[in-house]
Amino acid sequence: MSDFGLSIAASGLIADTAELDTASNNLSNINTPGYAREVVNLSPEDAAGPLGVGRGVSIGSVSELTDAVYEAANVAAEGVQGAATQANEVMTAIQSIFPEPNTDGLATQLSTFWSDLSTLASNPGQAGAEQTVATDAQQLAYTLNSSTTQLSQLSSTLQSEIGSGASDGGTLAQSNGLLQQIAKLNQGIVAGNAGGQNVNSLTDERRAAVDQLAGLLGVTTTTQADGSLTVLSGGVQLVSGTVAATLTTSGSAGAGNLAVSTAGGVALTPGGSIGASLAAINTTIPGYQTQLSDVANALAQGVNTLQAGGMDAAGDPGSAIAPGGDTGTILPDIFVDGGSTTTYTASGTSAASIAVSPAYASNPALIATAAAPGPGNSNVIGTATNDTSNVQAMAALASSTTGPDAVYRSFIGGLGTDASNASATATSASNLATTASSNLETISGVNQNEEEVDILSAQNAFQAASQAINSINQAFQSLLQAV
Amino acid sequence: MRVADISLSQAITSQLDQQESSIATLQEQISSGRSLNKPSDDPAAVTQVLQLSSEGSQLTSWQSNAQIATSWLGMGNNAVNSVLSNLQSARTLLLQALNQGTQSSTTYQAIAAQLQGINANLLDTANTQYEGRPIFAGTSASPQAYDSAGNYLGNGDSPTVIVGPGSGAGQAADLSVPGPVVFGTGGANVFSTLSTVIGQLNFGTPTAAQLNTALTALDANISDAEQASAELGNASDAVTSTSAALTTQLTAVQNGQSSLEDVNVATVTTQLDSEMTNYQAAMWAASQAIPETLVKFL
Repeated sequence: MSDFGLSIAASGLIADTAELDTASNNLSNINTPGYAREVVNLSPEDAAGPLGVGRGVSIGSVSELTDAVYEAANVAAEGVQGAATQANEVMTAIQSIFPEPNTDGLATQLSTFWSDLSTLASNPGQAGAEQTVATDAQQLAYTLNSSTTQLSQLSSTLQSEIGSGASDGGTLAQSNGLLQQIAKLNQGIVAGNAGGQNVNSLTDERRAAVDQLAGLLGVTTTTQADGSLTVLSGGVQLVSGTVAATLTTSGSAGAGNLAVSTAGGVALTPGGSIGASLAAINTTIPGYQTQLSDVANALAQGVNTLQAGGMDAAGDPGSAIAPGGDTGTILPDIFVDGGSTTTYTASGTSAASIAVSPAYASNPALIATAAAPGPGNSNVIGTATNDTSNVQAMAALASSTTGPDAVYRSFIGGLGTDASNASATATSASNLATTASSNLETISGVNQNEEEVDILSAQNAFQAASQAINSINQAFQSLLQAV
Repeated sequence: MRVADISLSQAITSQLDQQESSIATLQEQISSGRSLNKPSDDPAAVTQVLQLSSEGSQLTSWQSNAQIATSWLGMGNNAVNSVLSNLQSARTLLLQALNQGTQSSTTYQAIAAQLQGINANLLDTANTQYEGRPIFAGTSASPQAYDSAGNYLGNGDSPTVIVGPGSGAGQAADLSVPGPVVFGTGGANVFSTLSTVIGQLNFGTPTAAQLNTALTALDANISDAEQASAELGNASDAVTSTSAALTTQLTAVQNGQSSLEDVNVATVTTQLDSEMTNYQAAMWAASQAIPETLVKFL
């Protein structure tokens, strides 16, 4: 039976319309994240009839163009970029706390302290010079305290940026949302595939969600036979089929033990920006705080030891040389810490707690300018003296290879190297991500010219098919008039 | 190869971002005048700058100490010169008393009165102060080096300042010498020599033996003071040459620091210029590439 080719031409019209629709859809989604270019798969209808003429065209499917290898590389690069960018941001923030070389930095303050001690050595017992030294010491303690506090604040900011995983707007809550979304999309895709429906828009959406999740957590994915996507991070399965894990945090920034685990209690070592934040909170920032405490320890121990072993201009002895049973004034330590008002105990957190002892701060004359009585001098405990050899020794801590200046310099050198590495890593990670994404886009991306050519050829084909219908129509009419 | 439009725009954006960031860095360097603005700009150079600035600060302290030492030593030298001239006058007076044979007690008393005046001058000189500190009292905190009877109140340690690197607190320079080095020790000091002979002259009839003893003692005092003068002079010379060396070192340190830290304006401006040219070229290319599509020609 034949309808004179009308149904054949009509199948062409349907196919051309599908081509036009697909090209328009591609063009509309030219900037949509995760969108993969679609193509109409056409096939000729089987031939039939006595002459074996074809019966037109049929639309097999509308499929997405993508590449599993490029896609995996892109997801991996997103994770690396997320981590490197975040690590670089953290290092930039840390560096801004230590903007050396700078005339207000700790290095300059240390130099001022030493040179004011040297001035005191030329003017023993002069109240102004004594007061200046005490003020310098307080400024040093304050700068060490505030630098380490700023590091702690940065750490807390990073923690609140991650959040608890509950709906608090944190990046972990965002990750949980994405995990849920991927699980739900899995469900739709599996169902759609089973029912033979087009699930392209669902996979597009899922791809965008995975990309975003990769930046946050650093993930790897595997596609299952049923079309569902399994998502892993740090070896832990986060989405399997339609089930998504819920992530929570434990520990705290203050204690330096913030961790992410699933609600089931499986600990995670995430990558991405969350992984970089965790590394900063648990390792990088506490490390710098310890190094800053080393500076505090070198300062306090150097100065306190000399203070204990000397005597002030009035002849009051330091604690190390005070004779037993001395009922007079005994020089207080210059620096104290750990909440004590009288003693200094070196520790990894000294930078946070170093202070000038109240006894010295209220009476800056109590500084051991003179050496302990000994064979090289005429000093006598309890007798006023203008000897300044002990305060000269304090000022000489400036060039000590184990003194606070040297410790601080090596800290700044290390910090600078870390920051410059972080910046270089961020740049190369960003280049890598651009390359990975443009590799994927060579397959999946939409090219405007290509779509326009497709539209033109579909349009031409459509006109041709319409013309065929017109011709068949005229043929019919001539036949009918002839009857 | 297919190029997706989104890749093109991403590539353009990332390229322009990177150029903008280098321009911003160069701009910061030019406006701040410093090539090092944060530790990561050049970690090794930053560490070096911190080291140099700490050395510079120490050199400055040492230099100001050397200036203090120069002032002290200058004052000490003047004092000792005045001591020497006073002692020479005293010697002349003693020789007068000795050589002119027996004289009337009035004459002796007149000489005694002159010697008394010299003694007073010497005591004043011995108590010379620098910013409130008696320069001949050693490191003692006593407000005076000698009491009115000519007893030494200070101690035997020279006050010092640090003027350079060295073991312990560093290279020390003496600010002065203790009083006994200039004026003699204990019962043999200038004041004791003079007050003994003044007493004898006032009594009216000093013997030649007494006057000769006084002359011998005075000669010993003069020799002490001359030696002290030489000692102070040498110390002063040493400090002057140390100070000159410190100036040279300080200049070297400051030059080193500025070569690391300061922007070479010519280089950076040229770099900025070439970055700007690249940036403009990239923007021009972008402006040409982005709007071109087939649609335009249909």
